[in-house]
Amino acid sequence: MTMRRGLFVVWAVAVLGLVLVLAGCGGPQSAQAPEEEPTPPEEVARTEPTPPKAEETESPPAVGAQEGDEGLKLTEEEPMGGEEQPIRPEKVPTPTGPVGPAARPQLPATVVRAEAFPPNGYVVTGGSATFYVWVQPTGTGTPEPEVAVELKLDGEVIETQTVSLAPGETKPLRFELTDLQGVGPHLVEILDWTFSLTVIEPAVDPGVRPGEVPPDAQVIDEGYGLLETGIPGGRFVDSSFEPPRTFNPYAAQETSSTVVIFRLHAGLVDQNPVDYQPMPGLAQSWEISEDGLEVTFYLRRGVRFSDGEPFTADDVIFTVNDIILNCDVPNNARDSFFVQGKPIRYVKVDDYTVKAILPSVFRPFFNDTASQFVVLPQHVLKDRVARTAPGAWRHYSRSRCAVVDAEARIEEALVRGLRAANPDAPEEELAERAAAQLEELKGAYEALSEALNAESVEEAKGAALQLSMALAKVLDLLPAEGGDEAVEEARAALQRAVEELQGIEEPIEAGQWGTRPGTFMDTWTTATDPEEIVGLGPFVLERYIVEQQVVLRRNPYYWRVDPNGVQLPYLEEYVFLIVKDRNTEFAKFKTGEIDVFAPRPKDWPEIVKSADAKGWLPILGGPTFGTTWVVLNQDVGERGYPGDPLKLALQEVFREVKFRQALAFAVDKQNLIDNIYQGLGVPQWSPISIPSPFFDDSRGVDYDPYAYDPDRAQALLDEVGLLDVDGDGVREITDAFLRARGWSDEQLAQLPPEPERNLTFILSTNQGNEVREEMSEAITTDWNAVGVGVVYKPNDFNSLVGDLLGGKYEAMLLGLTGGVEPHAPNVWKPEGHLHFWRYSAAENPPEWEKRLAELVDLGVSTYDFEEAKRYYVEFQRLVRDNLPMIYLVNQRFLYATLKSLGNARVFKPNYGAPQVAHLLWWKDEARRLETANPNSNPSPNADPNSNPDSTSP
Amino acid sequence: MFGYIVRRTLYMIPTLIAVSFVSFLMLLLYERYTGTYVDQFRFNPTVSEETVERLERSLGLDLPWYERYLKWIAGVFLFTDAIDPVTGERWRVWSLEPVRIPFTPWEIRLPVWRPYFGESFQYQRSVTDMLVQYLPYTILMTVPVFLFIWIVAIPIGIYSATHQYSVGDHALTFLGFLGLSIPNFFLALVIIYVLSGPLDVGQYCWDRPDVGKYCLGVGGIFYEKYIGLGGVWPWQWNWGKFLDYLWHLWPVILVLGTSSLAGLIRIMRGQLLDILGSNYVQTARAKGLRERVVIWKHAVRNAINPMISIFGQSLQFLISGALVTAIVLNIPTVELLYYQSLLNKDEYLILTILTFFAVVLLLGNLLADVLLALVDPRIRYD
Repeated sequence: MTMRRGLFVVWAVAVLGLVLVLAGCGGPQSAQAPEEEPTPPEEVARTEPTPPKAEETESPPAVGAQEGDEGLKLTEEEPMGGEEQPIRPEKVPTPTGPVGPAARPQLPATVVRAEAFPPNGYVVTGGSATFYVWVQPTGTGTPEPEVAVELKLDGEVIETQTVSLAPGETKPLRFELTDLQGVGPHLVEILDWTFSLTVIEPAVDPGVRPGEVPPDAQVIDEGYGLLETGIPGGRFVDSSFEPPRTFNPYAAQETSSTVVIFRLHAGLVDQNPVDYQPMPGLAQSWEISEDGLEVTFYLRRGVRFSDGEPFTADDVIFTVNDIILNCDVPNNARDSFFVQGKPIRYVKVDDYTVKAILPSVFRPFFNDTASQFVVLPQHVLKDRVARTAPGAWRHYSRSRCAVVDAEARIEEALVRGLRAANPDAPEEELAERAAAQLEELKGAYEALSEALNAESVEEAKGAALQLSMALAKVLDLLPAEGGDEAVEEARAALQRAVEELQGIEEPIEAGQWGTRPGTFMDTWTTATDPEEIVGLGPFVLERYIVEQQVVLRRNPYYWRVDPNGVQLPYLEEYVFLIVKDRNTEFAKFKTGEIDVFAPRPKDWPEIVKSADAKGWLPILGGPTFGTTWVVLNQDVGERGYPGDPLKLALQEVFREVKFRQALAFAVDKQNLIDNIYQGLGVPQWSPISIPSPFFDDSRGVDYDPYAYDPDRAQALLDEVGLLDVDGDGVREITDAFLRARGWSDEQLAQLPPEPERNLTFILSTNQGNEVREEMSEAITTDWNAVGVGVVYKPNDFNSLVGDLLGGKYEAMLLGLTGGVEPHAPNVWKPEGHLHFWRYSAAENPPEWEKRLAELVDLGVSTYDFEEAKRYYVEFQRLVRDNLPMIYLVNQRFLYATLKSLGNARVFKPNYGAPQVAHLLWWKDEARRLETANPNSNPSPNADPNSNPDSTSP
Repeated sequence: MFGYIVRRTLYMIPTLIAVSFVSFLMLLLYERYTGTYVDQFRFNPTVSEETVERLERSLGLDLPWYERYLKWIAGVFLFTDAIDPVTGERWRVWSLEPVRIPFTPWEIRLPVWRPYFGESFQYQRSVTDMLVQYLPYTILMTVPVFLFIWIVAIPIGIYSATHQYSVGDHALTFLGFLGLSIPNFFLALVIIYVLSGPLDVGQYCWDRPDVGKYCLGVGGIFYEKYIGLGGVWPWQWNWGKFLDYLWHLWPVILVLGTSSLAGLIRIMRGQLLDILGSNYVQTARAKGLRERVVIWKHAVRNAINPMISIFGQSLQFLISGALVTAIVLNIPTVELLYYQSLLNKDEYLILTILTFFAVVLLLGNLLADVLLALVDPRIRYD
């Protein structure tokens, strides 16, 4: 592929060279082109304005504001090569209206040359017009030192520029008219030059220009984490451990990519960095319907993407339907769009309103929306999703994806269609008919589902035919013609579904390399030109230099302001320096190359010590998200090692809650905190991450129901009958213990004699994770001290996970990532695939697990935070008392930044909270003035009016 | 000679296929115990099994191992099956396709080899693309180190041999071994610690016209502000960036150079001593030749042959770079890319990089053999 490109480049260069050579041999006028004049763009110069006819007004050339901007850029540059330059007329004739100078001898200066963009004088929708005039003082006498040049539109002065002119000197000026309203002809006058403009259509939505804020801009105040208002400017250098793998939000799998991506994009809802509650994002407000199944989002108006295109409801719908729910785009966000196997759908109400339709009440909807769902620009990406992996639908048809998708569409279509077709029929009759049809459809679906799972093409074909027939029946139910919009939509959905089902007839293998060039998944990779990456976030990508640096620049269209009305973000540039080693990272922080550092606990004392001398701001935050725990396999006899009577006895021990409690009491957590986290940790007792608002903090963060108490542990072990019979320091699983749990004499007879029944088991953790290894070693010592013969044996992570998911282990020390949202049905429901402590509970769950499963559902079934929290408090206490996992300790957030960084305390580099980077600002003026490259050309988005002299040659 | 080079180059092809196949087998062995690329998502409560499965299929990881390998090797030498993104039609891109010569009206066609090495799972980009991105930075780091080692080691080796057991010999040998015995990563850490802590080089700042405030930095190949300035290659830089590059280069030379010096010095010294003890040297001395002529014309020319072989073998260092040092000193080398792809089990990237290493190794050996023939008239390949 590269070869082909290379050839093309060679070819292109050769052709260009040829052209240049020819041009060089060409006419002599090229050498004589007037050099003192700045060169306006070629195309415009060549355009010979034609007098328009009346019918031509219907098809105006699409010349807009952007071309005007390009015109400005080109004039700043040197004249292009030796190409021919036509001799321009002194004055551009205007297409309509009066032409040329009016007799006004009193003017101090005169226009010697003028050019207009668009040159033919027609301005289309929302467009702007740009004028370049070259002025010269009139007469030969001493001119006035400062000449005011006015631009008049229909006699009204719009803009005035002053210019100082020496006698005989010519100076260029640039004027720009924007957002031309009023359809029809207008007259533009600059000094003695006049020009006739015709506006074809008025500007529809003026929106915002770079640097301006939309009327609906969100004001960020203390409630949203703003501690102090700042002053814009400067650059901030963050560090990242790994390079980003992609800039595509829906292809990104790891934090090193998402930490960058979330600064480039925004979603409807955000997470408040202060209390982790949902806060308005691109949606300025929302409304939940009474039944809780519909959430209407009202979008901010006038918001623009970083390329200046307006943001509307279409972009939201596009992101949901064409990307997230697209069966051909494997993305994680898709999972958060399904509630109990049914998709959350989004419907456009109008340009600035969208409605989310949930299959059932689902409180985490808002948090998931905040963390998983960023809105992507339809105008940039629409061609990319059309080219998803082709044939992949057929390939994936084995998965449930397509079926679920079709099902949701058809159900909706059926109900809507019936209602629309029979407006007079009573509701009950309609419901009955719909139900009957649905029943039939459902049968067909299930048959198809099964056939697809069976991976038999023949069966799938048969089932597809059956379903097609059922769908055709539904189609017949709809009125043939003249139905309303809903019916038409329903018909289209049904036809689409039927077509897709027909595709099953030709199963095709997926592309061999996975993602094919041209598919959505290889859109916005690290090779993409940064200008193509368009978003709604506080920053835009400026450049990525492989393995070294990601530079983000502020988005001039960002839609958040501070209480003073200053547009956010404050920072001009946000840089990620990629540093792979913590020691090097610390060194770079010490020498001032990076501005923030997330230290290891062992670096903390040094940071605190030299904080004052170095101007550092050490911030000791609360505990981090996530939990670390030891789990005992309560199925070790039945599933882990079937047929081994000793393991069956061990299973009885593991199932004894008092045994698990004894182990929890026997862990010296303070010792773990001191030795592993240098004292910078807290004990963890709850399954919910401590920073989550659902954490039961009624007894404080330091509360620990299983505080270190080896005596109590010993007493509990004695109480259940796990005694050290032979005095070797390790307890045995005694007959008494097993008899109390219903073991018969025959079962006991299968076991070796009591002294050989040592209570030993293997504790493993993933090799290479130093913290977990150290923890395992400390815990092994603690447990051995109370007579539990645990043996520590590390293993590699993937085998561990395999063993854990297969239930083939004894005890493991692992962790789960956590977030604000505690909803994890995979773990907490007995039938979940991560219910690793007791898979057998799926068939016959103990009482407390039944209640736990209920609470998991209750916790999401209300939008009332307080009510949800009550359920989660009960949930946490249930887990605390029954201890399926023995929770250990958790590190606190540690980070260090500079004292001169404003709003630093809401900035959480570890968490990568996307919504706070825009609040950072430099209190130190020198830092605010700093940019990486002061000599570089200003970006084209910078306000062009601020520097009118930029057009001077 | 020419025929020999062509023959050797042709022999490389089966060797490389064998190398890639063995590499792939070892990769499979590694994946057998640590799982494939998609397995890392299985233990994530927010990712459903279905998504993992979809990802697996879209990457082609659900295919049997031999198919995965055959498709890779087919993409390199024969063809790639692709699906038209617009129409969904399948077509075959031939890796060896007759192409018309550009700029010629004639119908002459040439076979052009367009190997396709697959796509990286992590980056969703062509593997060759990735390699091409990392290569320049690797070369920026390794070429100076390489030059340093060879320019310093050979004279020292000669000096040590001619001044055997002198104070200078002992001192230089000691220094060489000191460099060898200090672990690279440790020396790198010490340098970084000393520069950032006690010396605190960050306090030395200047105002530069090109980047504004410039301070001495630690680690990396450029100061943070210089990274984006100018292009990749030195001739695209300004003087400020070049000086900054030199400032970041010396720790790399110190760490990597010193560790490799000792070996070369010892080989050069041993070879030269061997030859200095041989009869013809004695004869040369006996017939009254000047000592300089004896050593340089008679001894060194004969002692240099093993050095050339070593030179050929070590060429591979130029494109791989050193891993641990690269991590500590924060330099993006190809070896780092390789390490990352190993961690992520990015199959085609691993396979391609390994094959690429093998190519350079084979080419280095070929170059060494050619050089040997040029240097030593006794060696002929006919």
